[in-house]
Amino acid sequence: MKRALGPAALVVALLLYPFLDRALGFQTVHAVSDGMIYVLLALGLNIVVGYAGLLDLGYAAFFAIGAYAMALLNSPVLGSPLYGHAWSFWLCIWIAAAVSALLGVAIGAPTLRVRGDYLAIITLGFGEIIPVAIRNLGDITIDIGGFRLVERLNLTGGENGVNPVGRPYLPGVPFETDPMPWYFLILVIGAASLWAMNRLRDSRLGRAWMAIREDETAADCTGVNPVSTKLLAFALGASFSGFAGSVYAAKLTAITPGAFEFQVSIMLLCMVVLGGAGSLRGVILGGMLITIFDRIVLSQSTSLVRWLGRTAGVPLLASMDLTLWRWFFFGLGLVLVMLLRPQGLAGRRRGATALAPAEVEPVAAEPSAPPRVEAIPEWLRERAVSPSAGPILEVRGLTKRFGGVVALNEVDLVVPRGAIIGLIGPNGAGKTTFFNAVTGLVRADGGRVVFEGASLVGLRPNAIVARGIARTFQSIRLFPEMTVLENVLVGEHCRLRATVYGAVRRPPSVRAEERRARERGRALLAFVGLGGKEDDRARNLPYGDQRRLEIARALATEPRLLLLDEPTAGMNPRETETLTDLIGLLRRELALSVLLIEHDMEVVMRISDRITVLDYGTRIAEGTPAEIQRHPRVIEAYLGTGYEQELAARDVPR
Amino acid sequence: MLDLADVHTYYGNIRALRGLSLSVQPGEIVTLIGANGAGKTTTLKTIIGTVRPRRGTVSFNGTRLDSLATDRIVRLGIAQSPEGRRVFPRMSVLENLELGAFARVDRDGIAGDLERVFTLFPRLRERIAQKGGTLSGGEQQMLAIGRALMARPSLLLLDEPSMGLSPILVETIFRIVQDINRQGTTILLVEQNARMALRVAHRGYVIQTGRIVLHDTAAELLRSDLVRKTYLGEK
Amino acid sequence: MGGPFEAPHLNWWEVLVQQTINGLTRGAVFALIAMGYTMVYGIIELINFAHGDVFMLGLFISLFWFTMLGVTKTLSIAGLVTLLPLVFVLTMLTTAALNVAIDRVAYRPLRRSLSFMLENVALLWKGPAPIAYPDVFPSVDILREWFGVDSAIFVTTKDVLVIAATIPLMIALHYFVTRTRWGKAMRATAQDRETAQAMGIDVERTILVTFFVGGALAGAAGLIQGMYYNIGMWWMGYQAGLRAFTAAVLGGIGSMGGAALGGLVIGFLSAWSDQYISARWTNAIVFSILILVLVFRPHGLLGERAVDKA
Repeated sequence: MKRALGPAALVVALLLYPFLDRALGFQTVHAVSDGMIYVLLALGLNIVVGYAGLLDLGYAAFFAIGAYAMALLNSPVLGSPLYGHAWSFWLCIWIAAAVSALLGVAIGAPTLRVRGDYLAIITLGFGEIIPVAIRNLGDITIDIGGFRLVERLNLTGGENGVNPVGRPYLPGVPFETDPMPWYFLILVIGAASLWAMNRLRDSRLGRAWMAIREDETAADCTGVNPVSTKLLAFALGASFSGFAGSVYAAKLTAITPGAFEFQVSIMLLCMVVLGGAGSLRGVILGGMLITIFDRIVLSQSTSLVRWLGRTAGVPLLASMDLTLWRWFFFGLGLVLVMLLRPQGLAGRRRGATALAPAEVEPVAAEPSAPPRVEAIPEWLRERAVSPSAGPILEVRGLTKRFGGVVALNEVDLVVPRGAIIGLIGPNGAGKTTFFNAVTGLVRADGGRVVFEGASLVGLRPNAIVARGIARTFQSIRLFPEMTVLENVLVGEHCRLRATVYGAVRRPPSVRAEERRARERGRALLAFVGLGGKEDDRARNLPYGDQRRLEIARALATEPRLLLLDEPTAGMNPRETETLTDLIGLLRRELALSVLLIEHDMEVVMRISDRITVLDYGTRIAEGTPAEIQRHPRVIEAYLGTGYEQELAARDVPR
Repeated sequence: MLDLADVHTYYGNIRALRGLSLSVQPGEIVTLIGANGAGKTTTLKTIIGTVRPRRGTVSFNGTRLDSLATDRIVRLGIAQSPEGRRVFPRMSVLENLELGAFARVDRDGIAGDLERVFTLFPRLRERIAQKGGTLSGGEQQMLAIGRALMARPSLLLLDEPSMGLSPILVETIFRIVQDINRQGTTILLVEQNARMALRVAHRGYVIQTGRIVLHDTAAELLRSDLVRKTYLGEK
Repeated sequence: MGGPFEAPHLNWWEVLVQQTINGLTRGAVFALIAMGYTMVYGIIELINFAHGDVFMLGLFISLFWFTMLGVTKTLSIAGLVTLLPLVFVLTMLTTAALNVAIDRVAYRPLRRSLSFMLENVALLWKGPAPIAYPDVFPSVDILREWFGVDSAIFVTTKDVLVIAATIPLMIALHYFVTRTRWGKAMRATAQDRETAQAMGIDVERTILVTFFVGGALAGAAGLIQGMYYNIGMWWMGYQAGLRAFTAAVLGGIGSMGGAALGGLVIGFLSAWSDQYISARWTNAIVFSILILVLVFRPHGLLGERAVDKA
C-alpha cells in the first residue's frame, strides 16, 4: 500500500499543478512544459547512453531533425516544394519521429562498429554537422561552370529559422492562447514514453542493450547481434527525440538553428548523468532539476540579486545577470554530484565498492555439489538432439596470420558427434586463436570450417551462436553488473523472438515466452549449482561460481557444440573435479560435443576422447590420450620429461 | 625479515583477510597456497601496499610497511611479479625491464642486473625490442619475473607464476625460481599449483578464507592430510 | 580565424600553396592542443573537455604577462630574444599550474563541467567582446622583403614563428615521453596503473606531471594563437578544443604522433575547405572526413588497435 501511495500522490500533483499555478498566479506552466520536453529528450538519450552504453554527444541533432520535420511540413518555407500545403500537427509528429529514427539508422549503420570514445566523437561530429547544414541550406546556389543549377534555394529557412510553425488543432482546445493544453499534451506524451521505455528495459531487448554495454564481445559470442541491437537503441532514442522536437517546434511556433547547438546535447547529457544513467527515475529527476534551475531559479534569483543591489546601492549587484552564469552553476553542481554520488542522484550503486571486478578477490566458494543427472533441465534434453549425421565440426586447413606471425598454419581438426576433444599446446601455440576463428571473432585467412554440414566462414559470432556453437572465455567474461539470471537470459536471447512492438505491447505470446525463458534460466542455474543465487550481481560471485555461470550462459544458447577455453584455470582440485564431472555428464546425457582447451593434464587425459596438440600454430600430434602421452614431439614441446614423474606421483591411470 | 601480524584487509565491506599472520626468514622460499579467493593475492597486495590493512601490522626488516606508499615500499627492497603477469603491452622488453628498475639510481648496478636477467632468461635477450603485448604467455611470465628482479629486491613476491603455462614451462619457471633463490633472493611464492610450489619451497602456509590454517616445512605439508586432499587432489 | 584568401591575381597553384601554408600554421596550433588531450586521455582515460579552455586562457594569460612586462607593441630584435622566450616560459608555467589545479579540484568528475566554469571565468575577466591582442611579433613578408622575390604567395615571419615554436616543442615532448624517467612513468601508468605503482612509480605524481605538461603545451598554443591572429575571444576555447579533440581522435587517441598528424590534417582540411568550398561548411566538412576515417579505421590514423583478447 505504502509503495503505491508515492506514485499516486505524484500523479495527483502533476494533474493538479497547472490549476494550482493558475489559482496562485505563478505563471510557470510554460516553463514547466518546456522543461518536460527536455526531460522527454533526456529519457530518449537515456536509452542510448544509459541502456546501451553508447556515449552520444550529438543527440541534439535528432531534436533538430524532429523540430525541422514538423516546421517544414507544417509551415513550409518559401522555395520548398511543400510551400502552401501545411500538414496537420497530429500527422507531423509521427512523421517527425519516423524521420528522426530513419536518420538515426542512417547515421548509426555505418558508424556503430566504431567503439567507445571514437563513437562519441562521431556523434559529436553529427551534432555539429546538422546545425551547420540547417544554417547553410537556407540559401543554396550551385554553380557549375557558369551554369547555375540551383539559385538561392531556401530549404530550411537558414539563420532565420522557420516562423511561424502551425499549432495543433483540436476542437474546443485553446492551444493558441493557453499554456495548459500544452502541459497536458506533453504530460500524456511523456507518460506514454515512460511506460514504453519501462517495458522495453525489462524485455529481451533491454537485456541485450545492457549486455552490449557490459561487454560487447561477450554479448556477440552469446548470440546478441551488437550492430542491430545498437542500431535499435540509436533509432529508438532518435524517435523519442523526434517527438520531443516536433512538439517543441509547434509550441514555440518558431525555430532557429541556434536552439540545437552542442550545448543542448551536453545539457541533456548532464541531465542523464546527474540523475543516474540507466535509471528512469533518476533521469526525470535530473532533467527536472536542471530545467527548473535554468528556467526559474536563475531568472528569479537574478531579480532578487538586482533588487538587493539596488536597495543596498551596490551597482555591481544591480546589474548582475545570473543567467550568464548558468554553465558555471551546472559545472559546479555536476562536480559536486560526481564527487558525492558518482552513480548519479538516483542511480543504482555499482556494487559494494568502487573497485573493478578484477581487484576484488571474491570470498572462497563453499564446496560445490557434484552435478546430478536428475537436475538436467528437461528442455535442454529436448533441444540437444542434432539434426544431421556425420562429424559435428570439421575444420580443414585453417590458417590465420597476424602481421607476419602465423598464428594458425593449416590446422585440421574434426569433432565427431558427442565426442570430447582436447586441444593442448604451449602458450602462444594458437589454441585460443583457433577458438576465435571457429566462433567468428577473428576472420581466418584460409581454410574451411564446416558445422553440421554448413560452412561457418564469414559469419559473425552471434550468427554462429545461433547455428549451435557456444563458447566460454579463458578470462571469464560475464556481464558483471547484471544479475545471474539476467546473464543466462541473455544466453537465451537468440532463441527468443519478442520484437520492439511485442516488448512494449506485451501480447500473451510474449508474456508466455518471457515466463518460459525465466523458468528455463532458473532450471539451468539449479543444474549447474547456482540455485538461490539468481538475483546476485554476477560480479559479486566467487570465482568458481563465475566459471559455472559462464558455462550456464553458454548452455542457455542451446548449443550442440561447446567450446571451453581453460575451464578449470584457477580452480582447486575439488572444484576441478566437479567441473570435469559436469562436462562428462553433458556429453553423456545430452550428446553435447565439447572442444576443450586445458592445461590441467589430469583433466584432459581423463575426459578427452582424442587430443590435438598445437605448437607454433601447427598441429604436431593427434590421437588418443595414451598416444599423446608417449608422443616424442609432444613431450619435447609441451609435456616435458618431468611430466612422467608427476603422473606417477598422482597415480593417474595410463 | 618479513612479518605479518594479525592482518585484516577489506574491500569495501568484503573481508578478504581475517587476522592473517606469517613470517619469512632471509634466504627462504616460502609458499602460500590456497584456493582461489582465499586471500593469497590480497596478502601480496597488502605487503606491497596497493591495498591497506584495516588492522594489524606488516613489517619488513623492522620497518612498518602498512602506512607507507607503494613506491617507498619498493625502494626498501620488495618487488612483485603480479598475477596474470601484467607486462606493459605497448613497451618493449627492454623498456619493461628498465621500468622494473624505476626506483633505482645506480646506473652501473642496473646494467649488471640487466645482464643477470638475460642470463637467467636468454629468451628475453632474443626479444629485447619486441613489444610486451606480442610475447607468448611463457615469455611474458619470464619478463614479469625479470622485471621484478631489476629492482634488485631482497624479497621477491611471485604471484601464480605457473598460471596458464604448459607443463614444460612450469618446470622451467620453477627451476629458475630456485636459481634466483640460490643467488640470494628471498622469495614469497603464491601458487595454485601446490605440488610444484611445495617441491621448491622450504616452508609453506595454507590459507583458507583469509586465515592461515596450517604452516609447516614444505616436506611436512606434502604429507599432511589437509594438503593432500584439498590441494593435491589425492583421494 | 583567417577567412578565405581571395586575391584575384593569384593563379590556382599559388592559391593552393598559400592555403597549404595557412593550413600548416593552423594545424600546428591544433596539434599542440591535441597532444595535451591525447596525453591526458592516455593516462586517465577521460576526455579532458576543459583542455580547450586552458588553451583559451593561455592566450589571455600570455597577454597578461606581456602587459606586466610592459609590452604593448611590436617587439624589437632584443625583445624577441629576451622577452618572448620569457613570456613563453611564464605562460606555459601558468597554464601548466592551472591544468594541475583542474586535475586536483576535479580529479574524477566530468571535466566538461569545469570547461563551463573556465569559460565563465574568461567571460567575466575580459568581458564578452573579443579582445585585441597587441601585435607583439613583427610581421615581415619574407619572400618579398628578405629574398626580393616578387611572389603572390605571402609567407610572413609569423608563419615561421608558428613552425619554429611548434616543432621544437614537439621534439622536446617526444624526447620527454620516450626517454625521460617521467615520460616512461607516464606511459607505464597509462598502460597499467596498478603495476606501474608496483614498480615504484608514484602514480599520483605522474598524473600531475601529465597535466602539467599538457597544460604547458596548451599555454604555448594560446600564446602562439594570440600573436598570430591578434585577437582573443572567450568562446574560442570551445571551438579550438573541439578541433583539437577531433585531431586527437583522427590521429588515434593516446598516440602522440597521431595527435600531431591529426592536427596538421585538420589544419589543411579546414584551410582548403575555407578556400575551395565555403567557410560556412568547413566544420561540417572536417567532421564528415573524421567520420569517414573512423568508419574505415576505427582506431584513427595511427591508433594502436586495442587487442580484444578473448
